[in-house]
Amino acid sequence: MSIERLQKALVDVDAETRRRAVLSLASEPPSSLLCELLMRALGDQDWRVRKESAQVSLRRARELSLIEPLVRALCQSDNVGLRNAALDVLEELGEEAAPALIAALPRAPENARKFVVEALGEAGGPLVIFELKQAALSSDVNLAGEAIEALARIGGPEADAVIRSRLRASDPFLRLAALEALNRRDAQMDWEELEPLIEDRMLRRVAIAALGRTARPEALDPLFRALDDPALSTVGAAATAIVKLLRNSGAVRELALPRLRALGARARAGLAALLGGAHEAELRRASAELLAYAKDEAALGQIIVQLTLDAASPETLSALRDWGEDAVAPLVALASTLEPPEERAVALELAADLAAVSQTRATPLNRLVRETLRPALHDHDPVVVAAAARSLGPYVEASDAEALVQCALSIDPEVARSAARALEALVETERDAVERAIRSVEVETAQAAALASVLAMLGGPEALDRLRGLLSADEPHTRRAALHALGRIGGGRAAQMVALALADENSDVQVAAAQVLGRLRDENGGVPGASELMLAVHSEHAQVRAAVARALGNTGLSLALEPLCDLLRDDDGGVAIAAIEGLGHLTGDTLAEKLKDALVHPDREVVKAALRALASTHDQNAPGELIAALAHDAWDVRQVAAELIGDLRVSSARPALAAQLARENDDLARAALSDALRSLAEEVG
Amino acid sequence: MPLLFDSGPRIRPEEFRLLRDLVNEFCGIRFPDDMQFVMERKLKERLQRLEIKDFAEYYHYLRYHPDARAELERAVDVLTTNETYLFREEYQLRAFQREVLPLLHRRGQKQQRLSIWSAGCSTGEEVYTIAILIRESHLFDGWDVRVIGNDISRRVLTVARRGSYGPSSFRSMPESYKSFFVETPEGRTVRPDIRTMCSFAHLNLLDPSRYSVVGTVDAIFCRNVLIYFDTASRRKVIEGFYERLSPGGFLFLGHSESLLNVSTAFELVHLSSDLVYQKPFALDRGLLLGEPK
Repeated sequence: MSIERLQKALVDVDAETRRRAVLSLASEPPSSLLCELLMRALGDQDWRVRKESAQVSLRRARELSLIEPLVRALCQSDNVGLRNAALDVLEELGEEAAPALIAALPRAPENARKFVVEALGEAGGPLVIFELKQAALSSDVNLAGEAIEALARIGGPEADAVIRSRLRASDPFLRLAALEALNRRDAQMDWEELEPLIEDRMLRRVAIAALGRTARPEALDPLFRALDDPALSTVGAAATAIVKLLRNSGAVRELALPRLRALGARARAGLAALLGGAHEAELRRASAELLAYAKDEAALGQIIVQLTLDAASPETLSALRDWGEDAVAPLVALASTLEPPEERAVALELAADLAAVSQTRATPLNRLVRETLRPALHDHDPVVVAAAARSLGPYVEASDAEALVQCALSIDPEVARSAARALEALVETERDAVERAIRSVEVETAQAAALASVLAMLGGPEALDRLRGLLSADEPHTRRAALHALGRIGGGRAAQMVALALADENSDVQVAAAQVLGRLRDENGGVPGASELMLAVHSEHAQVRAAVARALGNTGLSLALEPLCDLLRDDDGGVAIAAIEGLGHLTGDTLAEKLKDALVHPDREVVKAALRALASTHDQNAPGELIAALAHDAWDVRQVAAELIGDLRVSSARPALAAQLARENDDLARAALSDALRSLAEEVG
Repeated sequence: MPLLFDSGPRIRPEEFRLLRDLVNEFCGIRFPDDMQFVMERKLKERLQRLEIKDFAEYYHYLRYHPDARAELERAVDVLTTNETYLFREEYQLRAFQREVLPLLHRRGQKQQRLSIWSAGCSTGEEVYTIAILIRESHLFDGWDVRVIGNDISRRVLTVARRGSYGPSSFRSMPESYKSFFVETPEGRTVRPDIRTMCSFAHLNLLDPSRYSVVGTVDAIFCRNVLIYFDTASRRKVIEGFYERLSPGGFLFLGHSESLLNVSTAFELVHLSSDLVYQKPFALDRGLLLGEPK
């Protein structure tokens, strides 16, 4: 369609026709008419046309020099739709639009200045921060509020300092805006700056939330008072703040825990209401944790529910452990009443976990747990059986052997595995009982995979024979289990059986065979499967080649060097990484030369593996390569490089670390750079 | 896998981010940072099943193993909640039955064909609900009616095909619909005549190139699915929906979802008890909601 026809279509009465015309403008050659049409469409009466035009304008802003007209559109007030669409585009343009926006700010009409400031919030940079600082100090409350918002979006220490200064603003709305902005930034707070705000009715809830980031004991009084507040929103703010305090300061934690244990009925009721009814997961998590520290028996069932739903934090488990043996009896009671089975299983496992701390089997508590676990081995639901078998380890007795062997033959893999672990524990003390129980069943079946590890622990010629039987099972999973068990037994006969499995028809079984052969040693410390591994280097399956590469590295044999260097050039990234890891076990100061290509590989996982291998072998070129990798395009390569520099204490890397830290914008990489600099400083200290 | 999730391998922040990005790239679902321990807990089961020692190795498995794609599907399956139920958000279904179905009936007189797609159908409750509403309307008796459900998880599709549900799936279903189910040992099972209206496909919504297997459809239900997607993925999926919908076709999203900042290609249409999106008729200025001129 010609531009003239598009021009016509853009004034059609049908919005869809106009929207499609805008879409066609995306491919029109640049011209002043095109700019004019796009800007006109940006102010269309239909939002769909405006949105479409915003997308096209964004894509072509630079080429068509649209920033100035967009800023003009932002500053007019006749067409609100046009202003909002221009704002969307300018925000998306970010830094590119900053100079024009800064230039427009002083001459923009008063009612438009806050929109200019809003757009600047997506730009960043020192010049923008300077302008926003001026705006944040403005007597125009709307403009200053908008500037605070914009600074919060930009973030960084400079922006935070400006926002923080507005906590002392005379206007309460500005104080609120500043406090909310700092909360969104998750910024560290000083007790002194929050103290005057806590009793301000308008700011109270927001200030309470901010107290969690003070790491100061003074924050505890107002926070615990807030737990008694009739408003659940305030209780929630206090609960999340207390949880943050517990994490951030050991000293405050010591003071807070006794107060939690002595928590009053009103606070407990508020937290329980949040635990059972809050929509936000964060509130339920915080309440669960605090009620667990408060040893609130009435809330225990609901805490279990949250644990089962993944809605409780790992710290809640720590809190339950802190509760200790006193929670065991109520948990045992819950284990028989809760539904669904997942909740019963969690209660059971937790009860066993808490009671096991005492280490002595004869206590009444341990007897109670054992009496609960044993019948649960016969529960109708596998999730409960698995939990019982898993938990039985510290309480297991000879009389459990038969039931556990039956569980180990279960078709449910989790039940079978858990029972096998319990049997392994039992072998340590009641070997004969386990042997008798296993002899009484047919183990040469696909279902006996879990028993392979138990057979390995029992050892002896009989175990070898039974494992050989398992190697003929239909199920590859069972054959793999048998191989790993043979690896645990070791010796020449086991090695022979394992080597044969390199020719198994299933590639996962071949992988297991390679892994075991890499670890197996004969009586003289030799590697019985080395020649078979060398042959398997040419496997058609990438995962087998990768397993062989790692196994060859584990052998420590110098003759593995050449095949590993060949595997470095493998088309499959996973094989190349395995070869690098293998070489890392073998070579010393010549590794960098071999890994030259890997260090510039397009796959960042390969680069990271090469850096780790260099660091582990203390290659003389490692420091140089690690320093170079600090400027890698991928955040995770920069992070690994910084971590390894810290681990190796590469003192020559200090300037490079500092320079990278100054420009690093990835939080994880920044943390690694800071840690590395700290390690080097400690080294000097 | 121990249910007490603070034992076993721990996921490091960088591993969480790499895994999160991999899952996002694969299916569009985005996990927020505070889901790190949830991901750790749920994926431990996969690590144990694969005999993998830590999350770094699991990430490599997902990147390089020949079975990586299938494993990614399994990972997404354990990471996402597939909980749904029959007659969910009933007010919207009522609007569909009372206002949209009569329109589709008028428009489709010539071909006597009706296709509805339940995108991200999970265990299939929505698919059967739609089929029941169509059957109950009696507008399409004798027509070629297809209700298609898709999901990325093979496990939930197996449940969907079975069509047998436990009590929690019926928590919102009005009593008057119980005649559409029969009692079986597996639970209450969808009646065979309703099941024959329904079919299921294993489709990743982030792969619109495969949407063609669904054909052209008159309405798409994608409720409470896109909330887990990032904006770029949402755009991709909505573009794919646009292509699949016939002109004037309807898109139903969840009550908290909208196309704001996602697509301008649809019209927002007010029904008596709900808002739905409609693909405009081609440039013939057809009346929205009604039949083309």
